[in-house]
Amino acid sequence: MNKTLIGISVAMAGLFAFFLLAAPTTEEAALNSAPSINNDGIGSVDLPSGVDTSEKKPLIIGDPNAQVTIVEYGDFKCPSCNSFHHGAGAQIREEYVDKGLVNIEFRNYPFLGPDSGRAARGAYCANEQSVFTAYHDRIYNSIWDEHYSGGSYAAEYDDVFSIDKIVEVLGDAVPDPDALRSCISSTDLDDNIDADIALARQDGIQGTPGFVVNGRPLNGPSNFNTFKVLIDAQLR
Amino acid sequence: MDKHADKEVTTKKVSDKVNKFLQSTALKVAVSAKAFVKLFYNPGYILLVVVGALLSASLVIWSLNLDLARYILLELDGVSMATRLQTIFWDPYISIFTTLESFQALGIVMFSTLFGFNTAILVYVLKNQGLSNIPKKSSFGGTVSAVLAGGCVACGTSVLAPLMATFGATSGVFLRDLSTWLNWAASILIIYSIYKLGLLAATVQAKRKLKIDY
Repeated sequence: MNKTLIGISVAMAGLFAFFLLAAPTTEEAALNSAPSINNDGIGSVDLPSGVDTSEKKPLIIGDPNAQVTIVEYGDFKCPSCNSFHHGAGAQIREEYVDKGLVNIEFRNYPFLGPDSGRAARGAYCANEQSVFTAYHDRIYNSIWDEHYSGGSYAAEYDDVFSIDKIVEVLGDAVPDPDALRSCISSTDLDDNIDADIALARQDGIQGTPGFVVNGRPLNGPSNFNTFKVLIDAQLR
Repeated sequence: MDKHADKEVTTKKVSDKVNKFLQSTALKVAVSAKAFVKLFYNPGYILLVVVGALLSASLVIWSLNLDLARYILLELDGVSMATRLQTIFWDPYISIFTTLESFQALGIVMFSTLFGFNTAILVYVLKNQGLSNIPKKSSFGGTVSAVLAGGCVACGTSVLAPLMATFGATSGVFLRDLSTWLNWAASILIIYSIYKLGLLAATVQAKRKLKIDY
């Protein structure tokens, strides 16, 4: 094989490494972009930088005392988030979360219309009744089964999560459906959602799904092995 | 009557021109494709395609997470180099159709494969003809297309995403659509680049056959 061509291949790999090293860090990119989010569903919140995140109630899947925490930013209507939930997310749950090694802290990043905000609010309402994990799974599975699994993404732009629909999807998983219904109608827990969005900016998240693993932001959907490498390093 | 005849003559002229253009273009495409295929008689160029495709796909896939990619490659403790390389270059490839939506995944696979082919033919032309001997006019389109295509996908997503976010377009859907369409646009530019470079490669091969020195 021609030595020149091998040399060129090596040089290309070197260029790749240079590009990687010269790129701005994700934190720098996030600071430069300073996105502001207007989430229609929760009263048009255009967040300033001074949102108080200290009082936020965490939405935890798995053992709250697990050694490793993965932060997941998602929108219950986002197809890529749902795809993650059914793919790498399911594997993470099976391999790590169910064994008590890892927990997932879900943070809302609602941007797909009023019902995104409604579903985000529902997450905190379900958490009040200690059924957040069931809520998370049932809401994701519902839109997946009815729309996304067949490759139809039009629901992304439709108002699919009415309060009635959310309560219906949860079924017997929620102890007090009426309390859930009135909680979603109120704005009492919205500070938590504002805090989620402010934290997303702080964590360098640029879209959904977004994650913080091993203290590093991971933007966009990713495969299980990437999570595995990062989790295993932290568990060691 | 005269007007009608004039119109017929004009239509025929236009039709002849179009036919002539199509015939010459078809011939050029055939010549370019033949030269392109001949390139791979040398396995070194197949290696270039593979390396180019893997690197460009990795850049596209990791474009929003270059900091994390750097961390995994260079800083993560207790992980072998083989695992690091596998995580960056191989795992995203084998899981691309399950991690991403089909249209998006197909765009990345197509772009990266074409980028690999383009790299190989560009190297062949540069190696055999030299940068200074390449006719500026004909190489311009091809080279600029390739640079634009590579740039718009690899850097585009990571540069444009934060830029667009500044204007309030922070949305997973937006970023997903942006990178997908950049991939497809880049693929079209690269096909044009391969075509132009194929013509140059054909010239090189013809000169070699006729033993014409540069």
